[in-house]
Amino acid sequence: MTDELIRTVNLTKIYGAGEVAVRALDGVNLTVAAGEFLAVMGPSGCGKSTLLNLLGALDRPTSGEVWVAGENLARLKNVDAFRAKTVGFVFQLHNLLPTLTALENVEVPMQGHLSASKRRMRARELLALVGLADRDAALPNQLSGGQRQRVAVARALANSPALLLADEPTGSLDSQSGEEILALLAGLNRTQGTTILIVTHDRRVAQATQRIVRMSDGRIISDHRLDDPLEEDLRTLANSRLGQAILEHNGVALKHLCPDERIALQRLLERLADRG
Amino acid sequence: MILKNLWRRPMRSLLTILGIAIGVATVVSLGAMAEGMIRNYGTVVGLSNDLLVIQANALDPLFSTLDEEMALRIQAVPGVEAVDPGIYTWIATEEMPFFLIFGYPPGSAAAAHYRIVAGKPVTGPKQIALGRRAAESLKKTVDDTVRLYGVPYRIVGIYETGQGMEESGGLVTLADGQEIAQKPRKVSLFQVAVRQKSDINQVKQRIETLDKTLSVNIASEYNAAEQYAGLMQGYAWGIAAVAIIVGGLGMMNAMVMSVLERTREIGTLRALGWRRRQIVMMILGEAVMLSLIGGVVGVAIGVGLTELAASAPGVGAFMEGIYSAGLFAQGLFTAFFLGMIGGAYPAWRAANLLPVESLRYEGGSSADSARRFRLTFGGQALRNLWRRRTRTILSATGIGIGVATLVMLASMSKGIMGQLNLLAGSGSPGNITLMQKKVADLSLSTLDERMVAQIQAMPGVKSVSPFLMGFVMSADMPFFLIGGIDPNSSAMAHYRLVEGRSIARPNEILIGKTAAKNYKVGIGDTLTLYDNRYRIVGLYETGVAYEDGGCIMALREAQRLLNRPRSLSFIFVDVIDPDQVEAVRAALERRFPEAQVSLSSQFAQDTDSQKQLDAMIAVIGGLAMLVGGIVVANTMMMSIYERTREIGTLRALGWPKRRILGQVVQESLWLCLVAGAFGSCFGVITVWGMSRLPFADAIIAVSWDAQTFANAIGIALVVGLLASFYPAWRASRLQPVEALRYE
Repeated sequence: MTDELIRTVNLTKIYGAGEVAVRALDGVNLTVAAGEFLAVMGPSGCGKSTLLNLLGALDRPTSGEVWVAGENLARLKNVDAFRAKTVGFVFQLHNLLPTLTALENVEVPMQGHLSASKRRMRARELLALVGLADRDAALPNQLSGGQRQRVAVARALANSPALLLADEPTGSLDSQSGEEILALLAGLNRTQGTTILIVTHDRRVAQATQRIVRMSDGRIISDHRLDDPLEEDLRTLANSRLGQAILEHNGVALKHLCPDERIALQRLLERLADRG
Repeated sequence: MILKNLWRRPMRSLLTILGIAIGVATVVSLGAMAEGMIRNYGTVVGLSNDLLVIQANALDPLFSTLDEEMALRIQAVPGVEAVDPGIYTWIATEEMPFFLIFGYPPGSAAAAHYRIVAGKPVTGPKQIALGRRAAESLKKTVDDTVRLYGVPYRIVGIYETGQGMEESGGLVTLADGQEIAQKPRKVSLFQVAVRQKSDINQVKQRIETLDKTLSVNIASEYNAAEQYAGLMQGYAWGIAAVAIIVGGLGMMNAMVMSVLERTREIGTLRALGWRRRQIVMMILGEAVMLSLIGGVVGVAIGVGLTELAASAPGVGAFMEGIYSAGLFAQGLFTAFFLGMIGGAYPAWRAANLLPVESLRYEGGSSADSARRFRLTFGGQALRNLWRRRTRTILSATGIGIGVATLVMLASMSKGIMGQLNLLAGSGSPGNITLMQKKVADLSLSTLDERMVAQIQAMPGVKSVSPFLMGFVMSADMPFFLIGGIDPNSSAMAHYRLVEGRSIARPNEILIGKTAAKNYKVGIGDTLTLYDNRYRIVGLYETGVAYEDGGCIMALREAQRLLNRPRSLSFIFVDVIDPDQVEAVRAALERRFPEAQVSLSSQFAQDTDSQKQLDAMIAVIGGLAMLVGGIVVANTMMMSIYERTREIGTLRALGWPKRRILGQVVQESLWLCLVAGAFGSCFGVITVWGMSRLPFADAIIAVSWDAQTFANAIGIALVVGLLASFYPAWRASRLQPVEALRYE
């Protein structure tokens, strides 16, 4: 692929050693093209946050390679510059600095890279982009949860990163604020072309993206594009307990369906399962 | 539970303990030294006989002067077996700032007190036996020579007495002692042996009635330092108090932090039904536990410091400590007290937390007013300090007290020294001051009166003013300077008469305005000094605090009153051409090698008193700053613990380590700068308050200059820098992943 942004090769991360060693990531191979909007899904402890930390150069792999924007992160010399310029982070808890105003929080990653006046200008642009132009002087505790997360998004975009990493960005928000943030991220991906990787355990969040990578026990178990929403719904159904029951027990649990319907459903699910 | 809570933050507990320990160590070591000084100094004259006779009203034997012939009169008193005259003085040498000289007739009972352990006893002129400690300090042994005021003395023996201060001196013959002390035909004391021990009280009374200038003491009951005891203990406590207050603030700070950090926990405990009293007991328990550990550590450090000081070459004997159970109890009680006081406010705060609110607490309050600091000019650091105002105020007070102490002491020292330069109006350009070389104390300076005429005849000299200085220090007159001055000399112009007339007769004196006010006397009244009555004929003003708090009288009369005939303390020389002052000074120095010749404007700076004062200020200020530094380090540690997630976020956003490092250092520097500014103000106010105390205006002279403040604030900044190193390093080393996960 010409504009490949992320590539991991047999990426493995082991915490601890010996008896208590935990394989958080176990030979993960993932490739992401520039401009993608994807979600990494899975239950807690599946290794999705570890993957995010490795992609953001917050942590180093035990073995394997991780390339982001042409840089081998295991051999990175200036980690700080990479964090500041190549990636942007949005955390579950906004993690804004409580003593700084919204505008100043957005300026933080630009300190040491841009002059004060340029920082201020850029921060204002970004706040306008996330729809908070009028709240620039507010302190974090004067903003709602959704507004704080929008400031955090603006902060992540400060140095125009090639990659935006978001760890459960809607995790601490009510459903309406959560949808607003997802719409904001989708809009950024569409209009600015920013590559966005969201880590989540929430199916609805994942469905707002274009590609879903499912993980379990440190491995990728499925990776597919969301070209057809109907297909995704069926896939969800196939993975559900109901779907599993139909596939494994040949429909014995579905007595109240007529035979034709049962056969049709079973055939559909089998085909989906084959495609994997 | 209490121990677990303390163990949760080992670094903070450690720093808090250290803060307390230093306070306690100060109490213990200064207390032990004061006790040792009182006990050692009190018996330093080498008491070996039944009675000790010294000059009445003399502060101690060092200042006592009696006529040698008095021995014959005492010998004639019924019941007296033997009389040993003795000389006792201090001189300063390069190696030993306080070298004690004892002069006794060879072979006398008093001389036998100095038990020779090497060589042989002193038998003739220009021989000296050195005390064991003095020999060690001077690195001399038998058959070497030492020079005292340029005169070589052969070391014939080394003695021991079992008393540290005595062993820091040397024994010479009485005649040599008189020469060294510049007291021809005079002695400091008589040691009297009584024929029948049971008659001792009658003999004492008989000698006392001989002459009213005599003070007779029973040797076994004698302690010269009794009158100093209170002063010295007060002094020790004063210094210790600074360390204690700062340590206590550190304790309060640590406990407030601990409470804030555990707000949720305390809320949970309250929700689970804990009573307020239980919460208070828990927090107080933690505070007392910390302070008691600090107390024990402090006692150990205190003993260690005292032992270290006592083994210092040259001056060690003056710092030998004497420990008592009471002293240790005092140290531990101090610690306990600090724990209770330091824990009280945090405990009250913890107990008054509303369960509902504390459960909702997330840490990191931020007031709107935080916005007043712009992001530039260290705004972020200032906001972080503002975020935790209580903590900031407590730690700023800690370091501020240190700064205040430095400002206070330095300004008072400069004031006193500055005034010394103005003594008898000598401070104007073209003036030279002469005093005896190498004396341990200004008041011990002795010059021969005949020098005045010799100097007068030298080229370039305009006028010469002799000056004899003495003091009264008693309960009624805490500090009263007696100046003996030639009424016809040019120095007389310095004492500007504001009322009355000048001195015409020996029994007339002029007193300073401050003295008139303090002792409520005026023209026509009489003043009694050492049992002599003087009529006040005039009031003067000089602008020099201790001159205005004392009196002046005719030189002859002062010499008689202070029993220092034909001797002077200082000679002030006025030159004809101020441009030639250096040449005249050099000529005087060549002509009188025994004298220290200084330009009057820097006379005080040349004295040992200045060096001692500076050393003392350095010790006290250093102590206060050390404890203050620990408090600041503790605060910065707490600050970074609390902001671990924030630091993780900043690292994730690409802030390099040195930026984080810089921010923590900046925060510490701001803290110390603010503290330095407030501390300076506090110092100024305290000095002003002290100078308003009764009689203080006769002693305290203050000199403010920018240098003092710059020094104090500069030191505070250095402390801030040092104290922030470890926390800043810790902060910069935080792994972003772990910091982000930190709760």
